[in-house]
Amino acid sequence: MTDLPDPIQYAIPFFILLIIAELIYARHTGKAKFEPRDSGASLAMGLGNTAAGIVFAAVGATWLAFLVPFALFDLGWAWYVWIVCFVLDDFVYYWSHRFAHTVRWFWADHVTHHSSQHYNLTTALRQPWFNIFTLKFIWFGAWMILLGFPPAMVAFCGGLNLIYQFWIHTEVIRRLPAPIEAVMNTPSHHRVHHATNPVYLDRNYAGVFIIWDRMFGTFQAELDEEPCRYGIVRNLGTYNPLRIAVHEWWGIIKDVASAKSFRHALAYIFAPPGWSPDGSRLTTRAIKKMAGVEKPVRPRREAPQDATPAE
Amino acid sequence: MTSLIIILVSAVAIAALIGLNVWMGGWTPSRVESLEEAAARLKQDLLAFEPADGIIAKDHRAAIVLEKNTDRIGLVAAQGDILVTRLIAPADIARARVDDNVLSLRFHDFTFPDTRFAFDDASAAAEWQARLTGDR
Repeated sequence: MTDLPDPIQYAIPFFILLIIAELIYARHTGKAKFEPRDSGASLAMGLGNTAAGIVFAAVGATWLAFLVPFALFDLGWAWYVWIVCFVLDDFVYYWSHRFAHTVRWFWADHVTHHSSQHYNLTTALRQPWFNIFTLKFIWFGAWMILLGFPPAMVAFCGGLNLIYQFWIHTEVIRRLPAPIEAVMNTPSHHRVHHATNPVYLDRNYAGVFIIWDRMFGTFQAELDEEPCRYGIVRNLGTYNPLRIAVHEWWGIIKDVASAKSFRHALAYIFAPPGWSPDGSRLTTRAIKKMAGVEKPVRPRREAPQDATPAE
Repeated sequence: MTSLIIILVSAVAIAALIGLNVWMGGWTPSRVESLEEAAARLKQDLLAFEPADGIIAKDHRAAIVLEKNTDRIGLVAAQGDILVTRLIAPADIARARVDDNVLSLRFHDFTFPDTRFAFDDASAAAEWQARLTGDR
């Protein structure tokens, strides 16, 4: 198998420099907020994620190598294959990310990334430790290999995708020019994704290209009249990385242990986060219904009555 | 070996970043200014919460708000520069200890911090301990 470097390892020094720059900018302008224990927890989660990635790398690599003989095509290494690979990988990321929010088994892992009430560049590095438990590399990692993209190319494009997502975790950049906001995932779009306001919940799953959300009806623009409140529906009051990493897995174990039937036990694992047999907890759908925001809300600046007629 | 070096260098960089964050400052410890603020925060986080009676800790770092017509309790606790809320029942309290005028609470939920309420006098602390644990 062709060997390519892990682009994330090369990006780490730039991550650190950008965090320092945002810290200094935040201190002088007040446009971003940092709290040392929150920052420390996020960075420790990132370090743990890297360590877990090293420990479990062989499992994913073995699975991908196993799939190669079953590939439909041999797409090779031409430059245009790289472009198609990057775009398709982002498409797979969109669906993987969407399932990470709508299936509790996957959410137990991904909730870590959303568990800070702050939104700055350290939040980007707040990553789960037990990704391997989700077996997502089996469900979502297979498609590109089975199509015939070289595993090393898929892994490299996946790394580039994650690097892109680092810089959008900031409140410092308000909005980018309209053509960029239309096509790319931006700080504004991703702030919405991290917000718990009912209108923003479970929107903007994009990695690099926001077009997937626009295509599949999950796009929500940031509204000037609705400032983002970050975190999760049931916010955490701990900075302990281990507690942050395991809290939802522990919640699943407790719920399954107390389930009255096998069907309920399965639903506690695979139904959307917040599901309960008696409806005493709230899923995103229930929260949106209560708040009357089941469909995406158009920003006032885009509403037809505000539009300036073309001359 | 390369991976180990990356982990070690990253750990040093993290410690330096946290140190820089502490040295630069720029955050303010959160406070619960009023019962109205606590109730509004609970309503915002829990949607259907109907506030009734409540109390704020003397240091303004926590508040208890009882819910109307139920035995559920809304808690607002300051954690760093943020506030965290929970809706709990008496069974969710692992320990409620009164020491003079201070009521200390520990919860079964390991993601919610131990919370300390200082009251004006010992009898108020004992009364709230009884209300929270369902003894009254």
